[in-house]
Amino acid sequence: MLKISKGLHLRDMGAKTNETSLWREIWLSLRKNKPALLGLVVIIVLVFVAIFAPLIVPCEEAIGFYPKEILRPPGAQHIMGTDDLGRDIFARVIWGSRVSVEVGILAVAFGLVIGLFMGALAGYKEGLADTLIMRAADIFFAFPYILGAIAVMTVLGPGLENVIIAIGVLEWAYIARLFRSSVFSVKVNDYVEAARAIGAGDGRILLKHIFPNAMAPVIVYSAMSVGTAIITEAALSFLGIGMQPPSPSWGLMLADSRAFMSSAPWMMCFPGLAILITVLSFVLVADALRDSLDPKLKGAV
Amino acid sequence: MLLGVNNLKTYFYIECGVVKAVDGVSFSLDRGETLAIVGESGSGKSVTALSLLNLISTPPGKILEGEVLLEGENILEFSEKSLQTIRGNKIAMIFQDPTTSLNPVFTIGNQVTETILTHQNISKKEAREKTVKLLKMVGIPNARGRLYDYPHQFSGGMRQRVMIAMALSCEPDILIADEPTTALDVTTQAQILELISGLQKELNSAIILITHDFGIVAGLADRVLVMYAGKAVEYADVDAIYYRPCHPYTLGLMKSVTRLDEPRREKLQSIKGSPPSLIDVPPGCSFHPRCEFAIDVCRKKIPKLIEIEPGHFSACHRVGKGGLEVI
Amino acid sequence: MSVLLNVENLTKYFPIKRGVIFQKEIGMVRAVDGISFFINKGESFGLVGESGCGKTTGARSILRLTEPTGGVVNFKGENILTYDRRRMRKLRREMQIIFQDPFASLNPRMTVGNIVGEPFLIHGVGDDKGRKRRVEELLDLVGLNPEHAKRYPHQFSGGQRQRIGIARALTLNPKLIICDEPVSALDVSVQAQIINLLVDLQKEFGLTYLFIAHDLSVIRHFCDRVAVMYLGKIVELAGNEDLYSQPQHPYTQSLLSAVPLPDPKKEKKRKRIILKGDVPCPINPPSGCRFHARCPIAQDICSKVEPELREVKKGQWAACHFAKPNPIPVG
Repeated sequence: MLKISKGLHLRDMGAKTNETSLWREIWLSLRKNKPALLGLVVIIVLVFVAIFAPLIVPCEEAIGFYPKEILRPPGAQHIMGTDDLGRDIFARVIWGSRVSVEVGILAVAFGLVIGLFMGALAGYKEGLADTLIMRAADIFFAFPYILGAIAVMTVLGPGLENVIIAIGVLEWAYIARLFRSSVFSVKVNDYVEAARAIGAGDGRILLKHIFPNAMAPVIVYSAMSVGTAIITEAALSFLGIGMQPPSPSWGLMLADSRAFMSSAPWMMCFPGLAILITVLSFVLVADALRDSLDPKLKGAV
Repeated sequence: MLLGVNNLKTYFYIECGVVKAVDGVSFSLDRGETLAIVGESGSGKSVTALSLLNLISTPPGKILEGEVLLEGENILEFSEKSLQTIRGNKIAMIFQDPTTSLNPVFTIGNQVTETILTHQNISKKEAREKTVKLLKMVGIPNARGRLYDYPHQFSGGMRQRVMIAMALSCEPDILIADEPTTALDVTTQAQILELISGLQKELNSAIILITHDFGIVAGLADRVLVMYAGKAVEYADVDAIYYRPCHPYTLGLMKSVTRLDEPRREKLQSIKGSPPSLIDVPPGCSFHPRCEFAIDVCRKKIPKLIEIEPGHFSACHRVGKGGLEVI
Repeated sequence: MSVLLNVENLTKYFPIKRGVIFQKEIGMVRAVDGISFFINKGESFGLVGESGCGKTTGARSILRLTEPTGGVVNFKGENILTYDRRRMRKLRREMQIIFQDPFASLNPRMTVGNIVGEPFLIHGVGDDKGRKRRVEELLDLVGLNPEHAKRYPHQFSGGQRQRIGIARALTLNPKLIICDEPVSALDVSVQAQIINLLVDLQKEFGLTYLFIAHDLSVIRHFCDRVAVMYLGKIVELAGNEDLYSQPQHPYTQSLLSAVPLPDPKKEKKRKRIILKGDVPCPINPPSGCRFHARCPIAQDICSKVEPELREVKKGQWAACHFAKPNPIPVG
């Protein structure tokens, strides 16, 4: 019988919760969270590096063959050393960020487009649409994530576009399931009923009333998934079915470094670090988003 | 005197400021007596009840000062362990929402028996028999058969009866009922209120009734404490509160309720504005922005609770020996 | 006086389904089970009952926010249940609703100005400037500061939020407003403000209200005629005076008797009718009169024959075999 803060909500005490525009709310919460802010800075730097890679190092240094420079340790000329073909690791890490950023963002965007549509349809319409979509999603959950990606890649063949498609095809099911349940809980609110009562159509109700209020968990999940997508790309490339040589991908670089683990550890260290820092940044941001957007943690003492 | 509360202050320290949920509240209670604490949401009435049992989660809450004297001993100074023997044994509590106060995965019998066993040194079998007796006492038909039912198989009113049975299991001296009927329908409310007052006569226990409903107070209470924004604004016998209210807030509330026992009025008298946020309580008398009698001093000085007739206290600058000056 | 809304034999059943892909119906919740009443233009009609009696479902079925299972809803002489989506959306300008919970009824991510002005957008009324001016007028009308149009709902108190909800309902000059427990979530000191506001608006705009509440004293203050519901049916329907002074149905009488009076002397003298048990489950309602299991004056016939809603006295209808003024003897 002893429940301590039961029924004690800040709302009752007259305190106010921060519901404003979704993006403003996200910014306010990120601003207060130091690690997340750091993560955000890293992500922004990464995106800039990816965009302006040609201005930083020429492409040739990343994909050419330089027999005189083979396996140089880090030094003044090559700050991260060179690999077994004499290519500058720094250049490859920089150019590799292009692949990672592209895969991370586009694959999740691809998954979002399908997932949000399917999730909204399932959650809003219920009935047969819901049953069909969710059972279809169940088929995707039946495969372990990486196994599913390998299966799709085997069918599609290697290449950047195909990596993006493979990851996006797997992501949609997770996003759809998450968004569906979120739509479910939002659509029972009186303001949705009120919108219907003033004559709003389904499109308007979904876009104006349900989406802004149901997006929070999907945003958190997406931030997390960008990191997962980058790892998956690395894993696929490592296994030899993702990006193909000589394109500079962090996963591919790791694969190449296996034979030289003891003689040239820098070949493994720098792409590994790049993956670690990138993924960590996304996780930190996602974590902060969860803290601020999760309605269950909000408003209670 | 069974229970004496002196100058109780419970604050909550949260991000956007200090919430003075209870700000210097005092009252006393005798055996067999019912005290009603009346107030709107955010008046601090529930926090007052939780503070009595030292059930404030720290942080963010803290009982800043004051004493809660149970038979002369200040229980706020007790250790957590000795407090646990007081909770349930001496002071028990019923909450507003009977749907969330019971654990959905255990049977009713299990939960009541468990409560008895934690507080009393008797065998499991005896506890079970006692459970049946208690459930019968609170009017649950076929009590023995329903021991093995789960909370969801009970209606709201029946669950509240179970909560009352649990609260009474150790025959507490004081029963705190926090909005015990707010979640229930009128006809069920009538059943529960009758049950509570009947049991009180039987067990001669004291009741602290927390509510916002002046109708319930009129039927059950002996004395009434009216709270506003964390402070006691009026404290008196039930008759004095209803027939000679001496605080503009109490008076306003009385006039603004719709009632069945008087002719219909064209227009209700209402209090302007809304209850303040406890984070920024207005300076001076916290009621002054809504008060029709407010004068300059109300905006500056916090009024003290003064005795205007024997046993009748009011915290208002505009109140004199004869009651509210302006009326 | 002309009839604005006429509801005949309205029913709403919710099927209970089991199964994952192939769903099987295993029962029906008879939330609203054949209710009939009419509301005159300019009148306040009260629908009162305990939780689960179907009053809210009934109201939402009238607005077709949930699709009723059967019956007729005549609004200005036309059965709106036959309307297609397009006509129904147009009709929504004339019937509006005010919700109970002021915290759930406003979209937290929209500004107050957008919330109140949304109906204009949907129905393509006016231009940007005209809309903005009209929103400010509406906010002023319900007692809010028009400059607050840019704020978000969380910056307002419960009472103020309810005013925003009222402003939204008024935007398109509706004829009928359904008030679904508009004050029960509010603080006592704020309830009176909102009730007064609703009364003032009715006088000013000639509104017709369907007022739903569980609080009998609020209904008494507000309504001209009142219907009492129990388990999906109307058990008594009468003018305000008649219903409160001489209830003809035992359920109405016990409801009235259960309301505590804010007067210690009267309250302590009072003999209260305490009903046995709880409201039964609407999946398997009792046979005969649905109230018979809890009724203090039930006879054999009550469990066998379902009483019709009949006119006991001019303008006062009751569904009871033993209807008479104050049927349950007290004392």
